[in-house]
Amino acid sequence: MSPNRTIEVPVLTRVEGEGALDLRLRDDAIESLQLRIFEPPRLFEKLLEGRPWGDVIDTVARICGICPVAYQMSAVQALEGIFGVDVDPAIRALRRLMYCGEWIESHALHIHLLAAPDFLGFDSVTAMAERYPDEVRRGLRLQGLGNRLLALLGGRSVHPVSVCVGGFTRLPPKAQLDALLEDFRAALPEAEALVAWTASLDLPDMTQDFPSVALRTDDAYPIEDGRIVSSEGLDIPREAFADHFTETQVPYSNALHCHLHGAPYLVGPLARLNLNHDRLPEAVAQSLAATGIRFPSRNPFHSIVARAVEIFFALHEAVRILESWQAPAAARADFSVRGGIGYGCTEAPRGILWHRYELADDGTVRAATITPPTSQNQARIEQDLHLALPRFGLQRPDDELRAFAEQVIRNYDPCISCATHFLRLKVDRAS
Amino acid sequence: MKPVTVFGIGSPFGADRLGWEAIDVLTRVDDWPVPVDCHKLDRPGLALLEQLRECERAVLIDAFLARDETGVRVLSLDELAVGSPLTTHDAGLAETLALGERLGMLPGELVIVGIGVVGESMDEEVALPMPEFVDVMRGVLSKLI
Repeated sequence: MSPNRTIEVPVLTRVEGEGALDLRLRDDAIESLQLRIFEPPRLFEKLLEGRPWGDVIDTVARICGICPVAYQMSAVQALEGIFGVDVDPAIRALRRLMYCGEWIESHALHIHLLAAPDFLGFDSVTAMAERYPDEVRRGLRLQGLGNRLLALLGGRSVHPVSVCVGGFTRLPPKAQLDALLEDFRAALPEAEALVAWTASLDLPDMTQDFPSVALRTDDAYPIEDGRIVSSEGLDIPREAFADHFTETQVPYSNALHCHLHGAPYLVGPLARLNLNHDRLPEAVAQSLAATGIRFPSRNPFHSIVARAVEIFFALHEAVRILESWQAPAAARADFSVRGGIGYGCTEAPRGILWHRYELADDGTVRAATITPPTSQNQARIEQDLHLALPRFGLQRPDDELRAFAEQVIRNYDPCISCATHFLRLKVDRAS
Repeated sequence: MKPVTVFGIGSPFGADRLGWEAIDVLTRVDDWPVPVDCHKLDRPGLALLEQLRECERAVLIDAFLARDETGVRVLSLDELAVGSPLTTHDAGLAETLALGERLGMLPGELVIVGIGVVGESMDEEVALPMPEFVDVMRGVLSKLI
């Protein structure tokens, strides 16, 4: 075999958005490796500048079709911080419930459509469905439950529209919430079985060292609130994110790389579970223990198990909220618009999603910064490839290397469209 | 007589909303050969399969990009070209129905009515072809009696 090889994955498949991987080998060692994200920049932060605060929530929801709730929740948290809104606990519970729907939908789709075919040797879920029809049907049922929750609370499942500063534009009818409760209870055994099934897959052992970063609260598994913590001891409020995390641009990607104290790090289900497995409810913790996999885990391929655990958790949490939820006196709290700087950080399905907004006194957006999880995971994906490919075997044929590299990338569930609205725009004006 | 479930697939944008306009027409007219139970679906992706699961007879109405001929016509599953692999954001009608067929999740009787739009994209506002649409639907529904 030639001592110099260039292996290209010209278009990554079964990921959201457009990206590619360039890998240059010399004497069976990696000379260069670049995850290229060439999805066009979308410039959402610039689009928000000069617009009224009331446009923010519905605008940022358009960044992503699979995690619009995450964008809405981080934005509303930041705006409510600026306006000093006192949000009713029942509204907070309803937002957490809505977020559960997004986790269930997103994770169920990734496990069954994108990741599982890799581990079972199929090129698509359609091919996999012939051998594993019951598992695919289960995935579709779980995804459908998440969708129903989003549609009920958000007005529609695609780009929901009900979240607003102070609460919701309308509250869901109690009878419809009760109907959902029965179906969520009935699905708990399926979610528990999914945890065991993902743990039984033949997952590659690619143990490696990496810092995990996630939110953490005193008493609950983190979704819509918490301090930012890391496995290396970081413990900061969301306002201090930019003091520790640095975004930089690389010439080959339209998405910024993000580092913690100069090094790559992991966000997402595996990082969350690594840092918060002691916050799982008893039933979910028992199902995780039964897998025999010990958390924290340093094998990135355990992400699929973490996603299944979070589906089980989200169903469990949804049942808990639905069983006790009582409608508040008003759908939204009153507030007065004022200027200031606000921060939001919540756990999107793919990891922490950080927002910062600066508003003028009349509520006009002066500046917006959005750091999504896929942007944060980019450097970690490249680092993972640097470690995993030599262990897989760089002497292997190009097709095998290409397929394995795609599998490594896909394991992070990258959402490239989310990650590409950060290109720094430099304008030179001739006088 | 048990109603036939009709789903209009679309979004609020451009020609993509024709599937929803079709549902508006279906609910305005009251002399169809069979009763119809009409629903508008907003880019359902794979969730369509959950909607279809409980139907015995269903009609799907969706706009599609035609090469050179506008019009309304019945499409077979084989005619729907399966394009790029499924992603979480973008499961098209063809891919979704191929998966549904593989899983045995499609209704016993399923008719796909396509509204052909000529152009480069679905961004342009286009009117629902009338009375052609009503004529095609009468033919489709009369076969489902």
